[in-house]
Amino acid sequence: MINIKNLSFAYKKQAPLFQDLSLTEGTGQIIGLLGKNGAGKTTLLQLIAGMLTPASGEILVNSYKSTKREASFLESIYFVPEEFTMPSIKMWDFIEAFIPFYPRFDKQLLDDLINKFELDQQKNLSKMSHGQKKKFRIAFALATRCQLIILDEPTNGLDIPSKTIFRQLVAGSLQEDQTVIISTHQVKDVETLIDKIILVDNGQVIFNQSIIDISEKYDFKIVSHLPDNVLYSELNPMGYNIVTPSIGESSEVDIELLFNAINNGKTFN
Amino acid sequence: MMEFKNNKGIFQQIADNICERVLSGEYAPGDKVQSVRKLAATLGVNQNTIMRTFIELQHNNIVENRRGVGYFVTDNAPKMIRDMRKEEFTQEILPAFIQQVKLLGITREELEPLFNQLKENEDEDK
Amino acid sequence: MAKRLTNKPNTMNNIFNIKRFGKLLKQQYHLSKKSATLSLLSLFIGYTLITLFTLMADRHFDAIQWVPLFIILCGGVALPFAAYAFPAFRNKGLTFDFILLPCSLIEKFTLNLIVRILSPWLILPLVFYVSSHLASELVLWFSPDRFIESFSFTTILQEIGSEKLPFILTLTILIALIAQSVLFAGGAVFGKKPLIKTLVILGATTAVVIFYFFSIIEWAELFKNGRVPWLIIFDNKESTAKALVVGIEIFVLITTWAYAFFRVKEKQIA
Repeated sequence: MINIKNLSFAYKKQAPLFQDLSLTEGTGQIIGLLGKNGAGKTTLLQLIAGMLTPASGEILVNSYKSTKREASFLESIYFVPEEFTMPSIKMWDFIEAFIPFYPRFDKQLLDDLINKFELDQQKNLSKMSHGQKKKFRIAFALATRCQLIILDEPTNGLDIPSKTIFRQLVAGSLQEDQTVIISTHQVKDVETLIDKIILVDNGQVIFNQSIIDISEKYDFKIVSHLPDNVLYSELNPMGYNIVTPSIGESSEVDIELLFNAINNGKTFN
Repeated sequence: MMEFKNNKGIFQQIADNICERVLSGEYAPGDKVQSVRKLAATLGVNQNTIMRTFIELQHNNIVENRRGVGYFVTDNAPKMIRDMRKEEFTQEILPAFIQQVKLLGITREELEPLFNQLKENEDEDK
Repeated sequence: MAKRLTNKPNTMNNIFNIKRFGKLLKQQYHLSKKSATLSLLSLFIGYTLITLFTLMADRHFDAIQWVPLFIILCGGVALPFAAYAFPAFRNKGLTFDFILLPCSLIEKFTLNLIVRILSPWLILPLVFYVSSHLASELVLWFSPDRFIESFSFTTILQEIGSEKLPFILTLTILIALIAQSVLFAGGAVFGKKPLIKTLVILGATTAVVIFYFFSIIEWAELFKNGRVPWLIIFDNKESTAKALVVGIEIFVLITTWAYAFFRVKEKQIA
């Protein structure tokens, strides 16, 4: 699905953001792309979508070179950016204008998603709140049934009930051949949704594992005293949040703790 | 060392939930369990995670997969679940309970309700 | 786990697909039907008012007098309109959506070319025609003693009636197209305020070119001591000269389009 080979990229007059980054991902996953501020999450997504041209290396999506921006490539991806501009037209007109370009578009799914998000198709897009616009874009993205859906900070601007609905809609409307990449700072918002974590830092992918693997290999718990086998710990009102090697049972992954552990130089593999 | 919180993995939590519903009778043996997609949509949980739950349940003979139709509760699912729960009880909960009893110096009188329940269970078995 | 999708890159389909281009036109309709209608309406009102004032200033109005008014009114709209080509580039979010819209680059480019350069040639004369006739009728209705010759292409062309007319007309149209296209290219390159930026760059370039041109004439002493520059040989062969001028214009036109095309192709999200 996604095949990045030796990618290097730098913005004009800036230090390189990515150096020799490689990444291969198959279909049928929801990938959580994590990283500190400025680690280049959005840039990586834009490179994958062919919005930016790498200095060197190659990015293949569904065996298309993304920089070529071929029409048949473009109709297989949908990208919801963090910030976007909506034309001053009715939602209904927007739908009419954009549906024909996506061969797998599911209009019934769209109507369904719009209802679940409690949006009104008669409303002018420019008169909707940011959160509403975002919900519409997310609903539209899911309804395109594109093989690759990229959501950049999708839960930013969504109220609390909408975040729950967001998880339900994404989890419930994907098909086997679709891949979703979600970049986010709000790990809690997507914790149950993603089945894979990719962490970028210093121009590299520094962590790339499935949640199930992590949950079987490590234990995440809250304890009063630090045991000997602790891999990483953080103070907490009750004692400590800790990560230890697993002793058989799987445990719920605390992605925030894992993120901090890795950013503090702990290696997990 | 006191352990305050050690949640099971999400797929394990969902498996427990389904087991609970079998025990409560909501799912009877032979019933079709909600589909992967349906469960994903109601829980907001990744479909692969739910798949994993079903594989785990299938492995424990609690559900069986009928190709193209879905997952169904097996005939002896309630018994399997009870056995598993019992094992969990004797191996994890009971030792922890005994440890607390020891630590707090609990006496026989203080556990009167427990013994009453035990007696009730034995009467029922007869 | 998933079945491999067999959408192998199909080259021709990815260059220009008439069906998809149709969808693009339809999309344009959905996105801009409201703003287009409003613009046309205000254009019509504006043209009619300006024409009214012009007509009232002159008691005797010949057909030929329409020419400057026609050129100013059409050019004054068509040129800025071309300069604001690729309206999506004015805004980062829209640029994003422009790039990701599932159409080939040629389709997106052609759409802009048609809308921003070619469509004014059809629409503006039409609006001017209607406006001028309406204004003429209005003026004559208020003061029937005036003389107004209605705006008509054939009358004007007949009055000019030179044998060089076809050549001059071709030349003028090509120059107008080039002017539009240069501004159009500016629209492809610049984000905010493309018209001003293009004009500034154009001004600077012209200044430099003129400066070098005169410097070269000075340095080469082309016209001194009765010497004749090689260009003059074309004076003797008028048809060659004409062909050369038209050829150069077409070349400049196509180069400008090609330049704009590659700038759009390379467009990045900054």
